[in-house]
Amino acid sequence: MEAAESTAAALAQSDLDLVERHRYGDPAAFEEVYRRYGEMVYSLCHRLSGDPDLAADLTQEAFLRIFRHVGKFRGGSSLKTWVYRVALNHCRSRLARRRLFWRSLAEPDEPGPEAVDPGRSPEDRAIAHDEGRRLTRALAAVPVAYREAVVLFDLQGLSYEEIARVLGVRLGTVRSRLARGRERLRQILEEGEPLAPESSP
Amino acid sequence: MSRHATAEQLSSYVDGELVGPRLRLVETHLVECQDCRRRLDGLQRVVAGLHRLEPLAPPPVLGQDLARRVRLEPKPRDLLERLEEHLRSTPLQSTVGFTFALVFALAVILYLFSGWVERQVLLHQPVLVAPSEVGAGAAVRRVGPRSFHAEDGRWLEVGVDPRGAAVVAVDDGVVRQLLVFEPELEPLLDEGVPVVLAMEDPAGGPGRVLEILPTPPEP
Ligand SMILES: [Zn+2]
Repeated sequence: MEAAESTAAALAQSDLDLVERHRYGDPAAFEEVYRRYGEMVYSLCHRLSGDPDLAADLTQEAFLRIFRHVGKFRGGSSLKTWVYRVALNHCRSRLARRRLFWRSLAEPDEPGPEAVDPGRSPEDRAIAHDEGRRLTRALAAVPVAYREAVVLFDLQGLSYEEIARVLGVRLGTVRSRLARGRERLRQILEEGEPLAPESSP
Repeated sequence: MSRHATAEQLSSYVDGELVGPRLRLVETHLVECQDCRRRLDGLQRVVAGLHRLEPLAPPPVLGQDLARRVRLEPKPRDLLERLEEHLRSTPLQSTVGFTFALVFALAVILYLFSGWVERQVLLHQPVLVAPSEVGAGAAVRRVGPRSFHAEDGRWLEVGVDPRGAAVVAVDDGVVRQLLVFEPELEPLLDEGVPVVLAMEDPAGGPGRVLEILPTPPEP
């Protein structure tokens, strides 16, 4: 327990050091922020938008906002939570404008390249790829507020508490949005081919 | 437990979040209810499938593009340094003038910004609702204080020029049914947040808004 607390304290200190170096104009500090959180933000933007090109734009714009405002970070939350919040707010405002267009019949875009795991056979990868496409497509049909909870919990691995801080909602709301998002996915996927059982290798 | 397990109970069960009597309640029901066992099985597949999704790698050029754009940004400290230098090198009299000018400029910016925020709120909140299975035998439907009638597969507001009218999907006047057609509304209404729908004006006019209040929970 003590070890966990001291790790958290060390992380918080390294967050603040990083931001302090950025504030004093050290370009390596922002590079470090991107190195730590670039993949996480891109993945979030991609899963929320369902479009790899748009995700690249969203990521770049979100990091420009981070570059301009990270100097104001005072360590009230973890830097990771703060970065998530900036990225998520940016996605929301950009995607809300897109929602003004007709889209009920639009097919979600194809998912982009996934990081290749060399330990898997080509057959496994093909099955995983097909399953991934169907899940990605289904995810795009889930209401945004539920999708955010599912993406943050099941794909990005945040805890309920972290999600509550990122979204600025109560724990009970996180739990209910996650449940509704998963339930919606189940309903959508059951209309098509069932997914592989949980115990599949 | 005679009632079926809720989505939240099953989701928490999958995450191992249920303990004590709440866990026993769900487990007891699962033993006797095939429906809920089937839902749980589906849910477990969904969660396992999500966990199998691999992280998406950003294109390598993204980092380079970002570095290029960041180089064009003013350095974080430049502004402060310039302000400090300015204050140090300026005699008191012009500092007072500078301060007045700064306050005035801030006031103007604040005024413009508040107008901008007002417009943004309208731009960001609205959602267009897709047309639904309107038509067949549809009579006039009511949403809050407004009445709509079906015409050519669209819902048009009674007494409103159709060129500026909304395309609203309403079923039996129950607002909740809107959700089937515009998924973004559902979470808001579930949480009791009033929703504003944007009405696009095909003639390019300013459009109108229709406020929809959440249906009260069943007693
Ligand atoms: Zn049941």
